[in-house]
Amino acid sequence: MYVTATLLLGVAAVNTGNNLLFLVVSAMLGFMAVSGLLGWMNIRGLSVSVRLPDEVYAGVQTLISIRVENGKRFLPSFLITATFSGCATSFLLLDPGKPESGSLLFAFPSRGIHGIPVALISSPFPVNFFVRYIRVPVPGSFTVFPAPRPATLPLAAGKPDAGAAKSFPSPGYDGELAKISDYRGGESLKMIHWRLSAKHEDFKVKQMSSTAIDPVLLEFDSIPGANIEERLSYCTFLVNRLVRCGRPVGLKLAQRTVAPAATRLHRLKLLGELAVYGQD
Amino acid sequence: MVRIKLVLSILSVCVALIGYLPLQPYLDPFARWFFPAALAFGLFQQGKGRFLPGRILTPLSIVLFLYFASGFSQENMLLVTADLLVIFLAIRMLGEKSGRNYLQVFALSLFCLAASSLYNLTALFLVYLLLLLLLLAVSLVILAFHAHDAEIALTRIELKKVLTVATLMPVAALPILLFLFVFLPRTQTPLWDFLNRGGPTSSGFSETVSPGGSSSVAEVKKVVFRAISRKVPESSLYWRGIVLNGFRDNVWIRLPEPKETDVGTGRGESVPQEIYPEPSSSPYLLALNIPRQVSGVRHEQSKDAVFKSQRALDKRTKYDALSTLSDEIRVKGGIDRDFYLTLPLTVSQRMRTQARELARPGLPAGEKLRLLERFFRAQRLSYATSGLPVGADPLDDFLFVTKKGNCEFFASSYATLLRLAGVPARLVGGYRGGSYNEMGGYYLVTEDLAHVWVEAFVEGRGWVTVDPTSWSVGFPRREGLGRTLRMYLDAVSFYWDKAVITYDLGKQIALLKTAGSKAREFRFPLESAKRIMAFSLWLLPLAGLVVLLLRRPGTPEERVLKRFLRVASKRFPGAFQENCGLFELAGRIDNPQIQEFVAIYGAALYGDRRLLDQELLSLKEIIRVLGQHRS
Repeated sequence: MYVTATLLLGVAAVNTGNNLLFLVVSAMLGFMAVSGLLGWMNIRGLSVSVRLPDEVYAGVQTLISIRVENGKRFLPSFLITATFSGCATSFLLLDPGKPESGSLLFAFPSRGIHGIPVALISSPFPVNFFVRYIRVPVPGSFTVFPAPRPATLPLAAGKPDAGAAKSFPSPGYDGELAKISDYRGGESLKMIHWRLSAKHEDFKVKQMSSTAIDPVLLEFDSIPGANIEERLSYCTFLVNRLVRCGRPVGLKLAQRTVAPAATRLHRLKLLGELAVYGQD
Repeated sequence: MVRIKLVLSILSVCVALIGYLPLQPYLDPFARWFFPAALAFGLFQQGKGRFLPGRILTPLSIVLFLYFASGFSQENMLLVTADLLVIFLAIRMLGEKSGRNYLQVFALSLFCLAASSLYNLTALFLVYLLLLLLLLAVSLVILAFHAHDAEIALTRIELKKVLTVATLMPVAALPILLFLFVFLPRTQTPLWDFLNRGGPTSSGFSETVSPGGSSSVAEVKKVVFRAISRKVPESSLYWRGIVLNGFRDNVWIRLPEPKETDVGTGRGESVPQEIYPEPSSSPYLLALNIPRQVSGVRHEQSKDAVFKSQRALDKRTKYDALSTLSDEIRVKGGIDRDFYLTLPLTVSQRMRTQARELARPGLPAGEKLRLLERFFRAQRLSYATSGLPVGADPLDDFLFVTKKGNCEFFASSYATLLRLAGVPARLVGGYRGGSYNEMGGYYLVTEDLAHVWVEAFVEGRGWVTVDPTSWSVGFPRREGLGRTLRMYLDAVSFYWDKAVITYDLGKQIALLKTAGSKAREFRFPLESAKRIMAFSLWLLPLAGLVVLLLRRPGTPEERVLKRFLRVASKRFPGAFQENCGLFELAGRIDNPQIQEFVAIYGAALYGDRRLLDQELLSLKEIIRVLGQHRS
């Protein structure tokens, strides 16, 4: 519309020789040039970093935190949208030197060590005639665990047999609220405590109680499944389920064995092994 | 918090007003009143949170369009277009506004302002244009936020930042505007010239003189022309336009002049003038009495020093004139006396009797002029613009009864008496006086200075200028309060016309030629070169310092880290990778200086504190040592 109006007035100016129309056309062309330049400057000088939770599973939507910083000296950036593989988050105003964070739900298609995809920064600023784009590389890499697939446990789960020494509370889904902790990415979105999250910088999740039982060593080759990926998915599910139930879990892979333990760090280590399995 | 919707709504009203106001005086009365009514109703509705639906507005637009379009013709196409633009703008202000509707309001306002340029060429247009440019820039930016989320609200600080950046746009666009205005292509002859005749101002002086037609004449302060010239004596400020040499009944008119040869003017200084006439339908080219030469427009020159343009001066233009400040036009070989002694249809008996006394044979023409002047002075005729004689014989009433009249009465009666006395005479129409603008170095001549005087033929001298009005009692002296302010305002208007309105293909080509020849002839003057070199020697380090200050990182910690990374990367080029952390670097390079630097820097960084002065000195020393080892 703007371009058409400018052309129309330009034709009128040339054909009437009216200098005031020439002034109007010059002003419109000048404004077009300046708005183009301002739009270009608006999306320049932005750096993007991504904060991922500890646990990211292939094919599972995960809430990731996007941090955008305006590195320009004076000029704020307006109406910035950061898009990662089709998922977008928006920032109304980015002051110079003041990073802003946004979040988006993102699902990584496959397991393994991934580089962060390039962020597509776009903005319709200053006038909504065109949307300008720029690709911004995002530093760092991260590990995507195999997608968990529910499997029937080949062993007794839940509470120990009657007469066992003792039971103690451990994280689970079906017990009572044990504590509130930071969102790490593996938790179900249902477990996010939205009201508390709104008051903090990080997302908060509810942790429910469960009970613990005896150690288990998962032999990868013995896990049923049509192919490696399916077996890795079952294995991931089992590792999570068992450790969260407080049961120490070990992993026996083709060439190495990881001794059982029930800590969270151990669980992440096992998931990491599964993530890169066969990709060395 | 400020709602974007509200800001946009206020801005759209302002933009629409700026579109409407410059066009308002030229609109059809319906369109002129429909806009403010629609705007007020729209605002009232908005306050109530209601809007007229499209099913009402669309038929209304169609009906009004048909009503105005039915009166469309080639003569009034501009008026109809202007009316329709304002009507559509008003209807748009009545309804609810989406992003698209806001854009329509902005576009219509811009077109309204553009249409006003076909009516009014004053410098006020620039004020409207700059205001509209500013408001449009801000509105379009706010509209971008509106498109993002119509319900968005910004804090006052955020809004201030948005408005600041939005305001920067028109400011930055100004130099581009000036550049493009100068260099956008012009055509030699406009194709749509008929559009430029929206509102030409009326002509200056009349091409006939008929005293007694009206009992009063209005004194209009409308500008007739401006003439760049040096200041000349007040008594010489006669601007010659037309010579009226004959009669149609009792009305002085210009008849085809008889053949005669002028051989120049009497003695007097030559005054060149650059004249900028306001658009008018009159083709006569005005210049100081007596004009000898005119250039800049195609024209015809008559022997009685009348210059007539070959086309009406209904567009802004300029011409140059060269005049001799003299009161005589010499004629070689005599004149057609009978032609210049023709009398009007009716001449009163009292006038004939008065003239008979002068018509004594043997009395030289010069003596007759003196006697007639004595008669005029003795009558104690006074100058007036109201209560003028009307009726069957107004000149007789003027000379013998009311004794009040304007220049037309003085000149007509004097010339008629001269002709009765056997002295060939004619009227000269033009302007008398003018305000000299010291700032602009030009004369401003307004409509109220229109004047008629007489030229009488005296053997041996030629046509002699006589102004009988100057013998009147109370001849006006036109100076008043606020003259200085008026002169300043007029100077702005004058330069606006000179720089913008009259800028055309000729000036564009001349500008390019001048620029081209200047560029070709440019030689760097040795003396200037030395001065520039010396100046640069001072300026360069200063500029370098400014660049350095602008580029250097903000804190001492950032600066020292940057220096360290630069020096270390030169010394161990293979060890550096993108996004490599400091501790990772220290682990990768087995070098004591790097280890020490990382330990000191890391202790401060992870201790969340600034570097101590001592630590900063140590780090600088480490960098220095690291740099020395490089070689």
